[in-house]
Amino acid sequence: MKLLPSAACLFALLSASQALAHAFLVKAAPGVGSTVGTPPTNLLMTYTEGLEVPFCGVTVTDASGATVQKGKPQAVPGHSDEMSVPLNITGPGTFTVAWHAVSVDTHHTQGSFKFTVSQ
Amino acid sequence: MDALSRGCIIASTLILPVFVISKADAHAVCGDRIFPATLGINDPGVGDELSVPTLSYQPSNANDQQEFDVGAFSWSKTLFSPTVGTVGVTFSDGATWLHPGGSGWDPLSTELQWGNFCAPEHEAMITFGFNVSWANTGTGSQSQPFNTYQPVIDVGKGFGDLPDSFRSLRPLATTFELSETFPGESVTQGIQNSTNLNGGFTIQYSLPYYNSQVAAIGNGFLRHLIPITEFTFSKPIANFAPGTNVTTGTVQPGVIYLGDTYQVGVEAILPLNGASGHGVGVIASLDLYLDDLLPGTLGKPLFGS
Repeated sequence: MKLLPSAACLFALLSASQALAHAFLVKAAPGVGSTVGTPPTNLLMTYTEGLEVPFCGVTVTDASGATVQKGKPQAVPGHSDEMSVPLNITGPGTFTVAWHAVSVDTHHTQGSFKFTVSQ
Repeated sequence: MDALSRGCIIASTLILPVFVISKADAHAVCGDRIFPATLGINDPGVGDELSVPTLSYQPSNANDQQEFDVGAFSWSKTLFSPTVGTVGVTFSDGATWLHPGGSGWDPLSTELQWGNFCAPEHEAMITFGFNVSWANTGTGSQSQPFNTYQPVIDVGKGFGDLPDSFRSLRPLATTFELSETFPGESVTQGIQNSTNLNGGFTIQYSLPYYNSQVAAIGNGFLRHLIPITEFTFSKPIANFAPGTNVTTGTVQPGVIYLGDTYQVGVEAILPLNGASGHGVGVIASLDLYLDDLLPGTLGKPLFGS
């Protein structure tokens, strides 16, 4: 079998307007590894692909392991590649975010990061 | 059964129970880690991928022969996902020009793989394969009248399980490959066909991993890059002409750009020693992640979901 797609076909494949792929974390607010001055009320996470938010999960814990997120992740209207989680952080400390995501084409990804509240 | 075969079976028996923890995704993802497709050795995953083209300009060998590989392709297709692991097959071929020496299509190779065994909390992955380079499927200077058989093991380990005090090292990963090639014919036209031990490893630092796990990278291009260095070697270990059991290999520093549905890799090729050649070569490859591009057709297992 000797198949060689043309360059035009390859370009079309890569330029597909609706990309379906694994959802990897692009950025977060508070940012990955960042330090913020005041306790955030919400964690916003942006991914490379659209998400099936009902099948995603986020856990935010403080240094003692206590959870500080309020409820399940929520979809962000108009931004299928984002999910947000309300937080209940009342003081300084380092917090660990553990997430798993399911993209619209059902691929699973996961990850974790920390952020710090200085005051 | 030779010592190597016994060792492989024993190692597999010891390693397999540890890794049968979760069925990994068909795209070489294990826990928080993505193992990209690498250019010198295989990555430790089984997936639906199309690598086309791979182009390489090899350093001159010890006989001052120059080799160009053009239009090489590799198509990996998952067959099915049993209770444990994923079974897939890879078809590989390409054209080679030798100066002096002529040109021709390489023999068609097929590798049956069983793998994606993953211990996600340790970002450790392993895949077993058996490759056959088929007789009489090559042309010209690459024609080969016998099959060549090659059992292969591919292992990957990410360092995301390092303590928090070493978090800057967590984006590091290493992959490792070991194989042995057995020619189907011991002598061809009076020339011995040696049995070779082959291997290699990679050291890679993933900026996508750094961006999502350690600290945000503001530059949209940089956070897609994975600097990498690969090491390969090959050594005749049986049925070789006197004086020819010399280890040859390469050192291949380079970088991989990891996109959402594809990757592009470029590496320099540096001979490991004088017997491996002289000068500098280069290899480049485009890999398409078919499980992301065509998840409903070519990107899913042939049998079952």
